[in-house]
Amino acid sequence: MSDPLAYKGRIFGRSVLEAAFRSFYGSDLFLGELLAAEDPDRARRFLFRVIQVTYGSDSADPGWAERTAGAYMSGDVAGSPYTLHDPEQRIYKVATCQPLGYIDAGGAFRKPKSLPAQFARVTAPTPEDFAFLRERMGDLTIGLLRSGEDTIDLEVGIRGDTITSHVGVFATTGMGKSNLMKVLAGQILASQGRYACLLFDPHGEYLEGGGGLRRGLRHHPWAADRLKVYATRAAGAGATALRLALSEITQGDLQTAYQWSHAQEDAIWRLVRYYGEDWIVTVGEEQDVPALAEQLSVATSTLQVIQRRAQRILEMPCISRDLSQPSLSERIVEELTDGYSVLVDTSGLSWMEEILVASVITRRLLETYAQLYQSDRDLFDRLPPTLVALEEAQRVLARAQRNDENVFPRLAREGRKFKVGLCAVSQQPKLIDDELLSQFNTFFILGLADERDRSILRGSSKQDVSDLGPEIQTLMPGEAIITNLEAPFALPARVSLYEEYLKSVAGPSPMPPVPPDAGGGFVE
Amino acid sequence: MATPAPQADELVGADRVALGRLEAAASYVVELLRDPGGEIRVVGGQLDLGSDVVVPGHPDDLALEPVEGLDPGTVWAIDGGSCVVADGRAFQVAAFRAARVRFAGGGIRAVDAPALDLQALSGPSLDAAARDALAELLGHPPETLPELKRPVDAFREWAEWRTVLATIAEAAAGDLVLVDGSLHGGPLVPGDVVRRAHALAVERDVSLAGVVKASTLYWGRNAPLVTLLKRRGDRELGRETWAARISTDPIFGRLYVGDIFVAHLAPTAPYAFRVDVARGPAEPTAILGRLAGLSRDPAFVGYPYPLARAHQAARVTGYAVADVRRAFRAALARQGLSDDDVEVLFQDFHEILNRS
Repeated sequence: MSDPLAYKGRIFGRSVLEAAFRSFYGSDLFLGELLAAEDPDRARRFLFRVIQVTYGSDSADPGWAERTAGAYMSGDVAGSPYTLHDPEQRIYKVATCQPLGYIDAGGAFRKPKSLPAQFARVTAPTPEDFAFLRERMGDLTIGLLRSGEDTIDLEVGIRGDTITSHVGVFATTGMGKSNLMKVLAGQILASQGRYACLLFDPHGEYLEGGGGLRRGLRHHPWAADRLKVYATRAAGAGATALRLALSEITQGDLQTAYQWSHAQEDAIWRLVRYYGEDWIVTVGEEQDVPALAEQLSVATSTLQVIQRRAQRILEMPCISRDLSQPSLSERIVEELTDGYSVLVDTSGLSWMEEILVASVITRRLLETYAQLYQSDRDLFDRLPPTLVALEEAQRVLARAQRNDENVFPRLAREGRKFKVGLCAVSQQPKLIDDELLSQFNTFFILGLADERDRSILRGSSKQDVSDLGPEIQTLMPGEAIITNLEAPFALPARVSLYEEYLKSVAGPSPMPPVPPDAGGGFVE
Repeated sequence: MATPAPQADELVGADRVALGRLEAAASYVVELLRDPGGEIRVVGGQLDLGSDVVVPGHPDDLALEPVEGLDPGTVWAIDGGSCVVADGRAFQVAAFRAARVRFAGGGIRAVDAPALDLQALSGPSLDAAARDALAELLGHPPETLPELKRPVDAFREWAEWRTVLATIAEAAAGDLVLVDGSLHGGPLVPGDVVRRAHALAVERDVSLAGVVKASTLYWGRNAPLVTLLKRRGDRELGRETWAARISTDPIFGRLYVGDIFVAHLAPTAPYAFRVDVARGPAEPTAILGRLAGLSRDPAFVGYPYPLARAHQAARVTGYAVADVRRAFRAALARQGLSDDDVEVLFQDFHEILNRS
């Protein structure tokens, strides 16, 4: 054998959908490790993923291991520790595996529908074993194929045109969501307009990196050419101050951003009826709320709540009621249609205000693309697939948020048709409406501690991840599982560290050097 | 004549035991341990004497000496395994082998587990096979043949001693060769075979010892001596490694190739064993120390690890017995015996009775 480390053991069971193999006691097997088994008789090479590892022994006594552990403990207590001789000859590991499929004699990958040869040799896979994946991995690569705690030299990611089928990024805090989002957005920047991204950045970390030695999208080689930055607070020369027209805010935006009681909704409806587009200004500046309430036949307390929220909206620096100053939402959408990516720094806003801003811009984007779809199919066809990325997306995708006016569920249901996809970033996918979650074709699953979160993803994933609970539970920061329709199975991945990724990105070509005689002016 | 009144029996699980017999049996054992008698007995048939060796002594008089675990060095261990492949009453087909392991540098370096040998035996052919086997072991034809109640046991033990002799011849000076069982010979293995092995070991500077899993050392009225000493050791010394020399009487020195010990070879070992150490290049305390060094594997606490591995290598498991029996029947069929004849040949009415 050329590489003894590659030899892992022999298969001894168990079924088409679950394989088990015996390995050496000293073999270091990891959950999620990818392995290959040879079936020379049928010229097939089976691929597996380790989903559980246990110990075994050749002892006929089923209680052998427990008794031996007890003997160890007795020795410890007596101050006379014992030593198991020749463990490699006496105990071993048993790995339970999920068969991923097999590569046939022609090199084609096929789903697992037959058993590998009994006692087939199990080895570590080679990059060639996964060569069939290359053509399925698409152009938005985010890292390398992972096997347990190692990587295989094969870049993994998603096809850019599938971002319109929506992307979910799920992880608990500290597992690498922001890094993954930066890499994904960076790849969209590097696509040079083939795809576009509208990114709402509530903490400023996507743009600047999040402090320390971290890098952000601002440091991306293509940022100067392909990234437009807007900020809802004074952000210096690097960003344009965001300005949205008050008149752009619809009842739907307000319903998306705030929780309203039925009485409050009824009061707003009456305000709109009386004051039209000026209703927010009217109620926000009203000095005699009881009188207005009486006029509208609503409770004063109801109107007071509406007034407080209206005042807060009017005080938002990015909301303009000056009709002479056009809203920048139109410009943002134009930039997206031109293949630029747009980052909106919402770090100065409360989370409700952030949603309000995101709702206004996203609605404008979706309506623009939908209109082009209907009115100018040639222009529509040239639109770049565009991804709208929103943090803590469960805020707008929860079942309780389900209403016809909420743009985000609408985006999840209709966006694909109009080339707009939603990237929902969430720590709590269990809070997302499962009907909406089923619209997401791509999941990036990072470490999730809560079983309920894993459970909801099992039901909505486009690949079977039902056996991967322990692996998802034990994912380390930066380790991910990717599921989508293009991948033949749930792909384990190690996401590139953004700072390392940046080193691999080729930026725009520099201007050619000035010719030595260029200073002489035009030749007569 | 009047019918005696039926006695009430004790219901024990699904069966019954005659009234009072359980208590009587328990009382006997308790009394035996409380007052076993006043002498130590080596069961008859050993030492070629034909009767028990009885020496005066009391277990409380035997010194329990501490044993310090030592580096075992290179150790060879031999054990045998066997099974009856077919029992035709008038004849028997036996399968057996002797396996050995070599322990060095803290682990097993070699395991020799030869293929099973098969012997079909009855009457004159059994005698001839026994004669050949013993001639090989003794180096000359035997004067008498032992009574072979279970030929399979004899062939297994002879195979073990053949391997012992070969191993001593192969071992290097300073090595220790371990035998599963005592060094006294017995009904099946003549004492001359043991003495021959001992002489060869002394000649080659090789140490020889035997560890007995089921001892026939008794005290007084057949109280088990090993058990009694283990109980005493636990009470007096606690979790310690110790050995008690049993062969203190001069008679052992005249009849035996070495010394007999009862040894507790690991502090928390649940068992003590009879250990026979042949006189040789090393003192018995050094051999016991090496054995203690070998008896610290948590799966076999208190038992020399190489012997445990030799046992595993030699044993014929239930699955293997079934395989060999099936293969033997197939061989009979290949040689023309019909299935019905095979059934008639090997049928055992006990099985029918037990199944009914």
